[in-house]
Amino acid sequence: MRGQELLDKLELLSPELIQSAAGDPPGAEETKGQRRRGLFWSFMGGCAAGAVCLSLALLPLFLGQGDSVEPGGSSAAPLAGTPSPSPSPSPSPKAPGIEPVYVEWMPDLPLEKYFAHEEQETDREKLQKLPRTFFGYDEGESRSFSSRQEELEEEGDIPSIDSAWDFTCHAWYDSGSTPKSLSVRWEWYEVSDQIANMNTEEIGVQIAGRSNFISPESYIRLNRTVVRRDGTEITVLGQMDSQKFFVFQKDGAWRLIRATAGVPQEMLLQVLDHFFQHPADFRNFSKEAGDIYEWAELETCPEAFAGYYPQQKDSELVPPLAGAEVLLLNGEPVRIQCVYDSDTVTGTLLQWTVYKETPDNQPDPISRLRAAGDLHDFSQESISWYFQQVPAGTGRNIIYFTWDGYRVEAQFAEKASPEDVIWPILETMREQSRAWGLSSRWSKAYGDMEAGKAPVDPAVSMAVFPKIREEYFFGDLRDATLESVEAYLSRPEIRESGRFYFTWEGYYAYAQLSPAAEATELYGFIARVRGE
Amino acid sequence: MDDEAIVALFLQRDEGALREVSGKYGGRLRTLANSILQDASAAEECENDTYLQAWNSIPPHQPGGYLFAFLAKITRHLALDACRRRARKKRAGICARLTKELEQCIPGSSDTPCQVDGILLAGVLESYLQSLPEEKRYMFLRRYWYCDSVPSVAKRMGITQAKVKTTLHRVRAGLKEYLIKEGYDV
Repeated sequence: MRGQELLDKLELLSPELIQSAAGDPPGAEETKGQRRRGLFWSFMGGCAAGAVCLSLALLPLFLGQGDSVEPGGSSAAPLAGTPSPSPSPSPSPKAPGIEPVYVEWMPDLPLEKYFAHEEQETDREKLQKLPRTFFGYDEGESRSFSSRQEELEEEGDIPSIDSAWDFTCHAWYDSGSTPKSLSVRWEWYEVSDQIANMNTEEIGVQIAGRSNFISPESYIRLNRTVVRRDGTEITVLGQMDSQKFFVFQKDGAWRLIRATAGVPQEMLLQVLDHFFQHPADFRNFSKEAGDIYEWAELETCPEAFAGYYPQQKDSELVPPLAGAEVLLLNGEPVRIQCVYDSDTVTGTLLQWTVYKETPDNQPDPISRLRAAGDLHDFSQESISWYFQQVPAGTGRNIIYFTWDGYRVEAQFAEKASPEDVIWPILETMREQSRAWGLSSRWSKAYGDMEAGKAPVDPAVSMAVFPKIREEYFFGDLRDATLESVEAYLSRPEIRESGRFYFTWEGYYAYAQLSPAAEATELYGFIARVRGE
Repeated sequence: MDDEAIVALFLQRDEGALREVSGKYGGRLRTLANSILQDASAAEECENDTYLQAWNSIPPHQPGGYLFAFLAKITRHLALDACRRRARKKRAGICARLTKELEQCIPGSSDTPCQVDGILLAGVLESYLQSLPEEKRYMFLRRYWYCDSVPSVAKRMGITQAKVKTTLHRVRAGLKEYLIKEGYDV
């Protein structure tokens, strides 16, 4: 018996057992920091969910005493997959009046010891001179690995950080497939009692294999402490009660770890320890394996999120679209941002954004806390109540909700009435999405189709959805010709999918396509639908 | 509309049954399919195919008391099939990860395939799961039946991911011992 067989056999469990896990867990209760849905404000008041954002930035570190910069003491070969070890960094300028204080590392060295010798408040001017690489950004082409958190943890490239709200991971490239730097970040959100304010805590990690990434004049020592660990010197910047940076070079790679003030100490030390002992394997971040995000105009992908944003034809309350952009993930739409011409139709809809959430494509965290629920559950009363709860000055004209698995942010003019403008537009969108195209006309027309020929059981196969697989889309049946059907069936991916996607009378639909379906058979089916 | 009434529509061959079941359970079925397929479009098709199979199997089935479980089984089966058919260019998907984890429950050499009586095995699995505390049983089912990711299970239960991983590890070990005791040592 293999694991796959066991996975399959689980489907034979009793319905009672299956349904016992369909709902909330036993003894379910809202926990602090847990995201909530529904028509209630989520008052997490004072929930200090520290976010550790570990930013390992590839940044030449100003290390060592005097005028010399001592590279990491390890004599080990460069990390597998990392760029070739860089030559020793050039000597860093010594900040006048500051002498380093060396602290010998030991297990369980408390975080306070890393900052024990700071004498003055960190010079903000110097912090502002830090390059962008300190904060997780680099130049060149990038790829996202944010969807790979579990895999990266299993590979040992990153530590397992529980309770993070968001995780992102990016790699940057010059030419070639191997990255020049990596950036990893975990984020948490602390919500105030006012709901209006939300602080972000984060740990960021950036790793790179070059030491000359930052020009020498950017070497700036902002603190006195240098922690020596196993022959490697870790320069510390910042303070215990503010933003912190740890920079070191080991095994041919520079690592910078950045954390905001509210990050729990033990979590930060866990991350520091992990990246000291287990640097990421650059071979796991090849360019071909990463995800690509890019923006496109709606005109280039007109089917993106079709039916999920209002258009002027839907309601007289909806202004014409002034512009719309689509965010593509590996060519698939994951967000649409619509801006409406509020000069043409005033006092109504301003913007409408739909998110198909991915780790790198998330709405503002505040949207999760202020989520009004799901569009299918709305009523005029609930919409009125929602806008009565919004504190003044916190975006009273924005509503956040979910819709068929998407997250939507809809911004209305400040004077837009919930009863007369907002609810009618939302109701219109909801009613359209519920359109169900199964019709007795189709069953009657195709009830005598011979089984085994395309399509199979047409009346039920042609279930209707408001959205469709764009890569398999044929077009509208009104425009079909035998030639266009032949061209459609000649595409290998169509045969492989076994589906025939089309629109008819305003509905999207698909029918199953038998493997042996001929173009003449399918065209005959289309002709019947058209009543010919 | 309650499940009994929806099943009655199926039996009457009333297409309104599909509308009702879509409204009542569509979201959850899509979520289940999406957990496995990680593709919203494919999950929608999976949901739609579930309705087709339900239409074709009611009658003779009449799942009045457990309509959701009936539909969810179909969805899960379709989604796992689709997941395996799709050639993943990138790293192993959820199916491979779950399979790998469940390998730990299998006594003896997992390299040796064997024909296992599904009904008997399901009975043994059921017996083991019923012996577990409610929380562990729920966690196991969410992970391996509903194919939730570890972070999703942790968030749903309001616990840390580390606790989920540790608990599942122990439950899998317990299942392995139970299977050995029941004679599934291959």
